[in-house]
Amino acid sequence: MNNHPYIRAYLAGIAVPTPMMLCGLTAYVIARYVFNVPIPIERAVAFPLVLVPNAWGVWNVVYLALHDHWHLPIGAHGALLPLLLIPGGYCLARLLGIDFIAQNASWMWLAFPLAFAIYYLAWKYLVNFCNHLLGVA
Amino acid sequence: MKPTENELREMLRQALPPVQPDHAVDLWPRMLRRLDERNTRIGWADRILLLLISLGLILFPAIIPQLLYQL
Repeated sequence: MNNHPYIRAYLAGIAVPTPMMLCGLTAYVIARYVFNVPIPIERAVAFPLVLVPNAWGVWNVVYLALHDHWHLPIGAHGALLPLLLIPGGYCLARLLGIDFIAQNASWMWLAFPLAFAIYYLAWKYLVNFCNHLLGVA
Repeated sequence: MKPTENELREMLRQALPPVQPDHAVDLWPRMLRRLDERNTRIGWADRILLLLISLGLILFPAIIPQLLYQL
């Protein structure tokens, strides 16, 4: 289990958000096709389905790479990820014309603290568990 | 006197330990052992944080689609 630690860290990182994508996609599909909420689903799913899980994997690789030099607890490390994801998602929403995100930035004051808290707990317990299981850090 | 091919093969077999290929090792018991040795307890501070998250989502349900998109 000492081979390829960065690949294992990447896999442990994407293992948490990937099953959650099912819930997110289900919510989008129900909102769009059952309740007829005008969400451009084809454009809206690109960020959460493609970029977010990969960002978790890469962020866990960064955690492993910095682990020996910078002893930041994994929960705090994970809580920093929304600092990249929320502005990134917002910019992409503006570029792709996803109105329900781009035209209403007033929710951000609440999104940041909620995202920090959610990510802190998810990384402290779930990603840390996957890391332990795969022998990472 | 030179050893024959069969004798040479037999000598080699005796000299070298049998090699067990990686795929023959059952990894599942090792996985179960790792799952068992991890006894995670959620601290009171994290429970409060979980409560605050739930409260935030209940009080401001409009944030849920945004969070689903961003996170």
